[in-house]
Amino acid sequence: MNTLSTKQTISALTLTFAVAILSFGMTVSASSHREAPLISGDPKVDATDLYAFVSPDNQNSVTLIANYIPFEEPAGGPNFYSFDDNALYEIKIDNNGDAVPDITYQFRFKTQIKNPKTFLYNTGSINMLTDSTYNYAQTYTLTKIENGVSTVLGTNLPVAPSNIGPKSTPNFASLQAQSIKTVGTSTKVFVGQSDDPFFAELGGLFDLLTIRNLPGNAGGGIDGLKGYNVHSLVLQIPITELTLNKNHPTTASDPSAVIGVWTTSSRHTTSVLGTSPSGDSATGDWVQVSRLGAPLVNEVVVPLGAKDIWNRSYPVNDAQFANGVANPELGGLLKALYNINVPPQGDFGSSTQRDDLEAIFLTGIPGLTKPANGVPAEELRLNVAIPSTTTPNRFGVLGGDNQGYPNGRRLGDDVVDISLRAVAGAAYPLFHPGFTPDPTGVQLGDGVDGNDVAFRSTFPYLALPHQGFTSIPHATESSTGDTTGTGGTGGTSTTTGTGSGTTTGTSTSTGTGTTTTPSNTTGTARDATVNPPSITVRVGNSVDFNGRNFGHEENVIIALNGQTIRNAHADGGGNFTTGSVSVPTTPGTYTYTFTGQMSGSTRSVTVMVTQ
Amino acid sequence: MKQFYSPLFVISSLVILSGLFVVISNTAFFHTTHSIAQTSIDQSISRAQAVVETHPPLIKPYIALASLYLQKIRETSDASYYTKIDELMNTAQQIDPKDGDVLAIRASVALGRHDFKKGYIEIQKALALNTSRSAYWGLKGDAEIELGLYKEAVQSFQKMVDLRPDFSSWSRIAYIRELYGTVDGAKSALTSAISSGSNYPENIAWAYVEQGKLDMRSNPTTALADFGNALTVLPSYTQAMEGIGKAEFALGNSTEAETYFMRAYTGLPLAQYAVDLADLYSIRGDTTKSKQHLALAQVAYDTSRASGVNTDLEESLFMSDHDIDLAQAVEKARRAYMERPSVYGADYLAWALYKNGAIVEASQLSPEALRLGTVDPLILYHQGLIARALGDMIHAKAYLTKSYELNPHFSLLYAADLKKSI
Repeated sequence: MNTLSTKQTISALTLTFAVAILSFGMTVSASSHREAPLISGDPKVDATDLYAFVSPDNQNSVTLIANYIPFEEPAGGPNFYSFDDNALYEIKIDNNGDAVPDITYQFRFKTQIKNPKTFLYNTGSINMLTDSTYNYAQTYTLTKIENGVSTVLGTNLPVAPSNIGPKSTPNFASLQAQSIKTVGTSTKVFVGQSDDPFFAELGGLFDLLTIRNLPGNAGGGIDGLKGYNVHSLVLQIPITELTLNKNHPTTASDPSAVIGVWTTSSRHTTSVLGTSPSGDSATGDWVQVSRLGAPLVNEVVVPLGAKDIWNRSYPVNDAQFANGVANPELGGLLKALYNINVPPQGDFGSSTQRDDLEAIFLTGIPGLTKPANGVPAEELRLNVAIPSTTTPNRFGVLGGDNQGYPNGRRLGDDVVDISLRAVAGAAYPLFHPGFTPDPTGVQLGDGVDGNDVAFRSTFPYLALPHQGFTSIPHATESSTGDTTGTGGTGGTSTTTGTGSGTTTGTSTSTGTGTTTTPSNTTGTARDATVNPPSITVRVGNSVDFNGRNFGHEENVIIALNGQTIRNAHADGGGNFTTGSVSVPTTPGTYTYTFTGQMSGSTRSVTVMVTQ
Repeated sequence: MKQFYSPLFVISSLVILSGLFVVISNTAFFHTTHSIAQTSIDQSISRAQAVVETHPPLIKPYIALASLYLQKIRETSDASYYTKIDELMNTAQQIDPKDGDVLAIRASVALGRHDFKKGYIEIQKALALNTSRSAYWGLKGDAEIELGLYKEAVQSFQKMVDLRPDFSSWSRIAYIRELYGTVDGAKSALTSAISSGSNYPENIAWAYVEQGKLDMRSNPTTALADFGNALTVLPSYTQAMEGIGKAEFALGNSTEAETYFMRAYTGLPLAQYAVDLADLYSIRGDTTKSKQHLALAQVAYDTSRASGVNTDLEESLFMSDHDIDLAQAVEKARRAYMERPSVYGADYLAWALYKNGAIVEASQLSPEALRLGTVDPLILYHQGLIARALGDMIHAKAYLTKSYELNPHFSLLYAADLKKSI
């Protein structure tokens, strides 16, 4: 056994490496003070988009969709994505225009890890939501609050799992269908992963304003959200449960017809030094950490230094942000960048305030989304008296289609183009009939006119999430041609066996090499292998396994005689090394099975343990 | 200004600008919609670099790029990025001398270089401009901890978590609870941090490693699982490899320990990993290899220092522990203590003095080192030995017993001696 020489090689290597650092000028800092991360972002409570529309296939109801967790890579293992158990997610409805929630739907999540020995997302195929293989399962409690009265609409409701791959989630559509529940009298609810329905040229969003082919109405943009998933909270609620007078208004001017919607997330704060036995997640006041109503408000309205204030603020206090709407920075940029003749603009209350934008973002549009006695507040306002149309126009109200944004928001509404044109003055003549909008301004757009995948015609309407196994990770697109692992060296492991028991530094081998029996090989293009394919070791020793050609960046579940014992993580080339795996202490013949969570590749290794 | 925005300029930079939004929102300084999640940091950096180069009049790209560099430093320990951030912030400050984020980033850089006084000044300037940013309070608390201003740090972190309970605030609360001796509270805060989540797998892996370090005190097997979780989240994470090495050593698996220490060191040649190996070889009686690795550690410290990071405190401990130029160890510890009069500043100076035989002076620092009731077995071991040398057997026994109870595996080098001592 060449244990010694291996180590000597490594020592020499480390010395060489240290010299290399010096000669190449790389400067490695050895930090001793505790550097806790500061720039962590907060994806689990980061609301991406909110939608509110009269359900096209059920006109007596309104569908509300709040999406969280931006930019989910479909192949986002090993833990995939989940809501934060410690956070409170809410969808709030103001049905009288006073900017205070009248009806609140609360979602609280609970993660139930079925096999505490692993924190893997799944330990095998998930066919039913109740399968024990759905290891990292989340459930939620849905509560409705109205007039100070809390009503629990459902407990232990299932969150649909992430769409992992053909082996782990073979019939995903069925799994998703199982997770749709009806609660209360006739409220439908769905919570789980879906395709991100937002479409936009990300570089073109407002604060930096990039338009590839001015004015941007001829396509050609690149959808920066293509292929990404989000986590969705979806409710379908009878209109008669939402309105002020509990009727279904049939005329747009009905004082009960307009509702305002927004979503928030909150977490408990805690006492820094005073800890309670119940833990930090259950103590202290709730602190609102995000809010979202109309699209792109963060980009258009809220000054950079005030983002934290915005996320903590309540609609009832939105007058503090009114100058950002009445006198938007973006208006100046449109003029400076593209010489658009934007309407005059000035601070809130001044003679040149942008009352058109105040209507869209703060007060509602008269005759459409403006409540009778409303106060200025940033909410996504929907007139529920206006039925859904079978021929929607992606420009919504600007396109003469009053069923769309900024009357609520449908999945297909092109909110980027609408908002660009609105800031350029497209709706200004409604308030100032003498104004002729700039001809380029009313054609502005980002060149992305629709979602990358089709929406569905029935609840929850969102497209199914992109599947992990078939997706190409966005971050490594340049290297996607390389899918054939070339058998990397894998740390200090030195396994080279191709038929008989070659061992690593930590195991002693008698090298008898029983035959290998690859079992349950599922159809993948690549030929996954695990070395050594078989091995004989003495009690008390361990084996290093090396896998090749598994799925890139996937988790590999390792089972001993069918019992999951641990996992390995295949790298970008689909290769993994397990490090030392201790063998059972009782002599005998054992089968180790390696199953790729996404690729479904399964390989078995027979290990004979001798005295 | 206007010439920057000529249509020709705009069109030529359109393609490059694309994606900037993703980059910009990718920081804790900004919580906006559609922040980035798992796009690789290098891809984000190259996008942000392009924007900075082509769009000099805008301040946001500078802040975005600098924030990405700060995360890059976390992932690579490559201190040369600090210089790049300095240059970015010099330009940004010309664009807007009143931008709080620029000052906050300067504070981060100063703390990273262990210039805690400068970091403290910079972050107070940022807070004078804007008190609503939770991240600013976090940086203030970070500086206060190193300057020994613990009560103030508690207040800063309270402000931070009240503004925004998230991964960053929970992870800081965990540390200060640990300093105040509340290990269970620290674990609870780390659990909340992990539940909160982060855009960067490195952050989550870091939290698992911190959990592992706390669990090492009572149960190396649990710690092993924590470190394993960190590696599952980030397979290349050397801190987790080091942790596994220490846990394996505590469990009596010296060979495994060596393997993992080597993986850590080959992954990232930090001084601490070289010291781990040196200590392991020393325990095995392999003085040649031990010396080799001590030399490698010294190389790592030298490169750190050359890149502008103050390593006085770390080097003093390293030299005291390994009986290298003990007079200079004291000198470095004294300098470090002037810069950061924390419990660790006091303890490492006391330890250097003890190793030089200056027992009385060492003992004078003991109350300061122990003033928080920090349940760090290393501090207690140092102070126990100092008390013993002073003839104060009652305190010596108390400290050493407590140290052993906390974590019999607290140190490769001294665990055996501690066991013998009690």
